[in-house]
Amino acid sequence: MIELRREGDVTVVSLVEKRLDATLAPRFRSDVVGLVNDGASKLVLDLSQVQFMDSSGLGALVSVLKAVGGRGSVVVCGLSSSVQQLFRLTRMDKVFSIAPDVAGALAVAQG
Amino acid sequence: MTGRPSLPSGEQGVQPGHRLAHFLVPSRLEEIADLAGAIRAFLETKATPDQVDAVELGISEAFNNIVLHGRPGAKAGISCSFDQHNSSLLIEIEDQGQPIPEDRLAAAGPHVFDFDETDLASIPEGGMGLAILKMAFDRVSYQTIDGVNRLTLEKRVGQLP
Repeated sequence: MIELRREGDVTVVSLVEKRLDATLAPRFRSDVVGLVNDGASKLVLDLSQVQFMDSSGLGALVSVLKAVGGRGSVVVCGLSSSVQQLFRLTRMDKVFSIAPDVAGALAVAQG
Repeated sequence: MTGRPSLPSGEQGVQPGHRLAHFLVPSRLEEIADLAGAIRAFLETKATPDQVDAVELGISEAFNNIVLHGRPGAKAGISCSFDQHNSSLLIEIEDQGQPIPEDRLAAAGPHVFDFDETDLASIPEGGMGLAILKMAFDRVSYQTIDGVNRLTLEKRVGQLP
């Protein structure tokens, strides 16, 4: 479901699914919060393959953000138009750092 | 969708006031992806991409709520039908699980997202589904009659072809 790579002190998490919904969100939350609990504090969440997200997926992202807390950073990138619409609708675009792609996200996370 | 002859069922037509399409799916979370794909294909020529996204989102939230909270049982079906009236799509979702408590549906709304974005603790991790459902449509109504829950959703889409 996810692929991981390290770029310096940043962990890039790529979700290799078309949907982050109630079916997959619990496992995504558990896996990524597990990374945070294991010490990852700077995360880039690459959602470029995700075409659809519901409130469960959004809640999982918030859980990751809360797990990191003030100890690091979370940058999301590659948002499809429907995911961008969900972020705007729920004001999560005011909460998350958002970059167009992984390169942009890494620049924010490392900055 | 092979092997699921009820998804989507036929009943295609364009007469105003008549049912345009009907989908019947088992009450399992895993079914929503196929249902969403069928709905997207059906709506492709009937609404703008943003409107299609909103309908998919709202129906997904409704479906999740039925499966996770209504718990009608995996073998029970969830019915989703589309009609048109003037410039609106009318969507009816029916199930026979536990109904949504009236106060929960009434209380859901955009205020769920009136959080302080600088206060991490105030940002919701859950409880967003019904609010998103109501925000995705122009009108939402709900009733339970003889054990059947009927969620009626209206989306204004402009003049349909």
